[in-house]
Amino acid sequence: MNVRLTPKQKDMLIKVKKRFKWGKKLDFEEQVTSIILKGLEEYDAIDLRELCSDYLLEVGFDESYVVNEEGRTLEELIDILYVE
Amino acid sequence: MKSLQEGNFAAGEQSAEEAFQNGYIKGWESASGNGGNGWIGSDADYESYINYRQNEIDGFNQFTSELSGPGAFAFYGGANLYEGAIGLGESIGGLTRFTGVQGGSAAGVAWTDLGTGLQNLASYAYNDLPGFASAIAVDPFINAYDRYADIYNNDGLAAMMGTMATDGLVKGILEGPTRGIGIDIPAVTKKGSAGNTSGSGSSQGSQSANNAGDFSTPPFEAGNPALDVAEGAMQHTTHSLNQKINRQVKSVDELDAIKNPLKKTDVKYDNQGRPSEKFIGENATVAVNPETGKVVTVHPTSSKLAERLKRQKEGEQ
Repeated sequence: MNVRLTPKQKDMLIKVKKRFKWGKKLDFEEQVTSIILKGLEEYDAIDLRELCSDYLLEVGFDESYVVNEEGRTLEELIDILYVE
Repeated sequence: MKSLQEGNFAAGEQSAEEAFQNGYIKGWESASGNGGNGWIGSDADYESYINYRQNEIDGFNQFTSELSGPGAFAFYGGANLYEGAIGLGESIGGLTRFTGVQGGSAAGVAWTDLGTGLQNLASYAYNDLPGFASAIAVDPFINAYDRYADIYNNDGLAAMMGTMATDGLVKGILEGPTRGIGIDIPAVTKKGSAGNTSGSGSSQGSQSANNAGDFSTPPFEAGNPALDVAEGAMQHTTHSLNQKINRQVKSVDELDAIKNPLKKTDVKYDNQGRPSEKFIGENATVAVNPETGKVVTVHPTSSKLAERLKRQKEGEQ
């Protein structure tokens, strides 16, 4: 599957991959208005989504549990990477 | 002062928080099927209502996202004036909460008015504050329960209180005892009482609802703070409640995730030292702060992940 991302979402995915030492390759293709994450396997999407969810719990909330900017991006990724 | 709810819910005689709690109790009771004479009938279609409400939120967010220039200034100026006048000291975020959840034909009229007359909105709010308030705060039950419409449309304060109450109402529905999974209502802790006595919740809940404004502890904070899920006392942060609504995660699935997780992660700590653990259920994944018992965020579980976890679980057995 191909996934369309914003630059922020791409940067966050790279951060998540690094944080959890996720071993798979992320193949990004830069386009004029967006970035495509190419050839993502469904199970990889599911795993990445869970990692985003874990990272959200680490960095995504301020002291009042209001979602911060990183958290917003992570929540977006959780929605984008949802595989029914 | 007009009464919003027979006998006990007089607008202006309680704080917004109490209105919220009152609505919460009503939603809770209605979702349990024990509400009887609550705001929602026992045959109410909660899912449709929540979807309906979500559409209103989306509509409002769409509307505000398209505002710019003088229109935005007028709208937010009017909104701030409204909020300042009702004395809640809330920000625009608060107004979004109030107005973004509204429905009914009056809301449509309000949106139309706003869309066609933004330049006049600030003066509208200034010159006719109750009118402004009632135009943007409408009982979302208006179609089914329009006996309240007149109150809401003629009393800005009532509109605000009613809105807070219906915010609570939806929270109560979402967190209510189960919408059909057979968990009793936790008792509501009333001022001066000893606390939670689960099992006799139905009658106590009803009694409490008839004594709005008399709560030292809201029902959703009763019981064991460390996620007393067995009694249905699940709590949400504002963010997680929004996510639950936006992602259409059902309460029954949340509870199932916590009671019967396919996987439960170890407790991890965030960059502020707060713990969290994640419960991956068949249909929902719920992250909880185990110290407070509050749900921090929630999202639907991928069915493929659920299948994988089930297979792993079966393999372990």
